[in-house]
Amino acid sequence: MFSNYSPSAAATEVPDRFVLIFDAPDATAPGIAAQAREQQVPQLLSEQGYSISEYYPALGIAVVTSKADQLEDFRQRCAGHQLPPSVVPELVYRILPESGSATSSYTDNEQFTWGLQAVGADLSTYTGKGINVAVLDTGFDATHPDFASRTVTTKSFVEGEDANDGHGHGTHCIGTSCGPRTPEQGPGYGVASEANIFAGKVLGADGSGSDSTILAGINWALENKCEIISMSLGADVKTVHPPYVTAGRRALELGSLIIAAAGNNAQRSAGNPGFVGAPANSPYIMAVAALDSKLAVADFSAQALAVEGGEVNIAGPGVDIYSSWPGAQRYNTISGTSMATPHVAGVAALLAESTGLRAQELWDKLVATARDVSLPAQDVGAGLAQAPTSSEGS
Amino acid sequence: MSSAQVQIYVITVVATVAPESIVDELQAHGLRVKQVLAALGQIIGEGSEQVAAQLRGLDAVESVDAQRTYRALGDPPDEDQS
Repeated sequence: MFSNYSPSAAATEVPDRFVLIFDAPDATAPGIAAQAREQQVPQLLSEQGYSISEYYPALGIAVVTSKADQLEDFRQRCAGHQLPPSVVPELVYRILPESGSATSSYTDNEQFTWGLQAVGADLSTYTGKGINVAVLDTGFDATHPDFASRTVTTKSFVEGEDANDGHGHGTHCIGTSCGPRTPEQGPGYGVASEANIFAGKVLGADGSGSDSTILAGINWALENKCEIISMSLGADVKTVHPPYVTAGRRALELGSLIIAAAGNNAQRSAGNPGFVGAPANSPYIMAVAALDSKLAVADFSAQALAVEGGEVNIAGPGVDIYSSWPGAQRYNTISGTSMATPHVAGVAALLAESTGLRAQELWDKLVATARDVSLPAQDVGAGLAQAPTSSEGS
Repeated sequence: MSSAQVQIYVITVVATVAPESIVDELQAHGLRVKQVLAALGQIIGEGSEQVAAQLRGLDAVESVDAQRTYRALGDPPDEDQS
């Protein structure tokens, strides 16, 4: 008795409720006349004992409460008046989950860290191949076995220290941005697993550095045509430091994008949202906030600062991040906007590879493709950075 | 801070001037040049606040900023770090 009807798993039928469509059964034929819709159909409905409160004459559609046998009787009566209705059960519809069955909670598994899963690097066919990524930090353990086959260029700008990582932070950040997705042991932890690595040591073994070392590192990265410059460092100052306004602008002019940590000066659980510090608060430098594995903003992650450039631009995984570590320890799990930054830098490398975009256009693409995590922009900017899939190549 | 105390400054050169071309001029004003960052258009040097004040008056100089220090942001308080 019913018209062509194929129930969807996303919708459920309402018992004894039906939708009657008074229209020509052939979609190529004209619909029934307005007079029939406005006069005959409501009259037939009333004569059958159906309410016409849910009849819509402009559409020629009625929703009725009826037993199936009563409805069949009605359908035959209508057919006798040359007005046979199509009949389908009323369905209840629900809001669909976000496309791609987006998850809102992650955990490290045997294959991938939660961070790689959250940014979609675990599913991306892009690896950052051919893209130069500079990570300006505490150096790098170039003897780490997970990087034995990689192209790594190292240089120290810290007086009296070689490029080796005497702290651990730099090796960890390089691991997240450019480490392997399929290491010999443990889960994959690197987003841009085939990018060319430029490890610039601008922070000493004590984890601190100065304009002299950091700007020298940026200059070196630009000379080496690094498309991405990742800086997991900062100072808790609200004023914009002019040298980084110039540095960020020059980088964009030269085809490079500087991505920096927003800062760890918040203590949100105590009511202190913090503020984006230098150099991330410079207008031409992308500021990165940190999310936890439930995609909530991290307690320490700094909020936007009310100056030009003080916005949080984007977010990345930054709590309990597993990555490479120098020496015999090999791996460590730590937290910070420092850890969110290389996730975004790695995604930027994948987007640079997949789209060919650079500098400001790459910035725009990163922001446009970020995943909305339903948090205020002042906390997470455009949302969680997302790696391109194979179908998003251009 | 005393105006005679020596510290490190970042000198940002105006976009139309090559930083290498004004090194002699900066040195003549008392700056001890430590690095020339050609790609960035910046020069790192050491001098007193008096020297910095003089450099700020030069046509080829966009800004003179005292050096700051920064830290790695991977060890926030109240977060586990194994």
